[in-house]
Amino acid sequence: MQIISKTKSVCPVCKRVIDAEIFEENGEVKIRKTCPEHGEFIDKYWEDYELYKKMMEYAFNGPGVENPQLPELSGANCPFDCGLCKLHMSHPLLINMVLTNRCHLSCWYCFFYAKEGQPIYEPSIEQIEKMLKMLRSLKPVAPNAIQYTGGEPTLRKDLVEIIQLTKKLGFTHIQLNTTGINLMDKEYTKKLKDAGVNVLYMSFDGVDKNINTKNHWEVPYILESARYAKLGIVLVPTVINTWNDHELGNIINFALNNVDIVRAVNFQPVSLVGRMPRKQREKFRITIPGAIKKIEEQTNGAISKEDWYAIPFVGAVSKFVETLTNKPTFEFSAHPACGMATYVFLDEEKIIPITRFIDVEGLIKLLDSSADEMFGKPSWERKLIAAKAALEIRKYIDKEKAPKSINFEKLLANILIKHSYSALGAFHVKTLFLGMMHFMDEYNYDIERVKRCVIHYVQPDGTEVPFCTFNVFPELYRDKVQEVYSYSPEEWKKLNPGWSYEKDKYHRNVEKLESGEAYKRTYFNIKRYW
Amino acid sequence: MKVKVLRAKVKKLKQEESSLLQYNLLLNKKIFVATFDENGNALFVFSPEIEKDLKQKISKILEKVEDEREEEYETLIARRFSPERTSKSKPINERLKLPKR
Repeated sequence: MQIISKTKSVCPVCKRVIDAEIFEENGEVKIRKTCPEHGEFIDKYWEDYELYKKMMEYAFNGPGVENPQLPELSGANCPFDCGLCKLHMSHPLLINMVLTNRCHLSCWYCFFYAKEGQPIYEPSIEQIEKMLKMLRSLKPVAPNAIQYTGGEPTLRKDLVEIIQLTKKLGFTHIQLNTTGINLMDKEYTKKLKDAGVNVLYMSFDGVDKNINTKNHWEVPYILESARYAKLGIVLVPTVINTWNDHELGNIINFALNNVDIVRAVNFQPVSLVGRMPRKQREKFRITIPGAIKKIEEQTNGAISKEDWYAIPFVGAVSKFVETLTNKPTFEFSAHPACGMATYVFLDEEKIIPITRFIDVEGLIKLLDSSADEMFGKPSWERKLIAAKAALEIRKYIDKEKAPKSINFEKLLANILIKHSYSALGAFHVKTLFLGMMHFMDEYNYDIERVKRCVIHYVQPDGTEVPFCTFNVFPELYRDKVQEVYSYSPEEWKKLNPGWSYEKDKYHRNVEKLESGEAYKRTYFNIKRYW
Repeated sequence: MKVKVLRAKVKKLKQEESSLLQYNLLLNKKIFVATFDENGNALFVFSPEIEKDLKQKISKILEKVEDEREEEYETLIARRFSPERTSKSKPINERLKLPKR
């Protein structure tokens, strides 16, 4: 057993901020903390110490926000001074905005939707506009990516109008976090796409209908609609140990079968929010390296542990672009334990992870050292150094092993020198982005991680709160603020005559859905890629 | 809606204690801001109706009230929507790598 680092966490019972240790034990990384009142808590932090050590090498401090919404707060008791305060160390890369707490499903485990008799939270267009404008004023870099979430955002009748407004205010990437059920309507899906939605962020917990009870029957029809509207989909499986951890390879295989429209799979190892006995936590807990190992096993090594890198790994790309242009750019300064990712390509029916033909570590070193060389030099000299680096890129690409459909040399040079992200369009052809995002809970809460969070919720009271603060302490943030800005059921019914909680609900006709051609086509002839 | 803004000097507390107090104060829906820093500075924004209760809760640690005033809740919120620039970010090359773990 060896201590890796010291940090701060919270007591899962009384929530006070307490000292914590990150330590290695039997090849795993764990977190330990002791509350003077409630005793010791130990939990799994990351399943693979060697991988953790390697990824921590890429960690760096982000710029934070120059004009945080709560500059008067000290941040001394992070995460209870949130909103943001001046101590936050990353600027937001993705904003989440809750558009409603109404939902057409009633999942037993969900505490986020309004049940019969509960207040309705639905910010007005004016409030949404204020939040969006505030976000676009953030410095040094204003976020341009937003995810609309809920509840179920498609229950809002003015969703198209909201999307149009969002585009108008400068957001270039709009994700819709949805069950997808209302998107079985092709024309509605097209309307959303035309308004500016870039991608559907859709829950998908497994291929097996006993696992994915949320939208298994609807998914084939949603895929059809997305094809019709040319709207990409990100599949989002929540990974729960002993529940669907055997489905990870199947989910990727399913995505590859629909790679014409599925752009990504974003696995989310479960966050065990709320009090839970240790035995139960141990049963359900899985972290990023655990999920990656299962993917390696379930894909027969087609996608292996070595193919994945932590989010800040790409920090050198931002550093290169920022130094070359002398302008602040988006920085992926999240804590390495929060997320990992890779790209896989489908080429002549073969799966090729990006790491098999690009020496990504060598390339990152090249960009890092070129940025250092450019720093402080005049513009013409910076351009010269960048051009030299661009010429060297070819050394890091194995053309023999690379997918034949994409010219990677040209693509990378366009991104780095011309900052031409339109070139990325080529990436979408038979390309699948695989991501892992592990949100924290009270047991594995690490304040060093939350200080670097890049995914923030925005609220109508003008606060902007990191994901794992918003959802782990809903009593201070989400629920507290939403209550202020909610309508009582009576007020809501007055504003929406004829509305009832029940009328929002979706009623599934399994027989009809299973007998449809799209269902059979989607589930009965799945090709195996390994 | 009117809110009260109270700035005070309080006893320096260990973080375990100040965070517990801060968390418990914030559970009250009528307390909008409750914060302590390492130097014993505290800031509270709350609804006037809970003033007595709040002051009782912090009475043991309260050393000096430095400023106390009333303002509109909407003014407080409006400030968040037009935040002043407060600091300057360093370019990425000047920021330190995280200390080795």
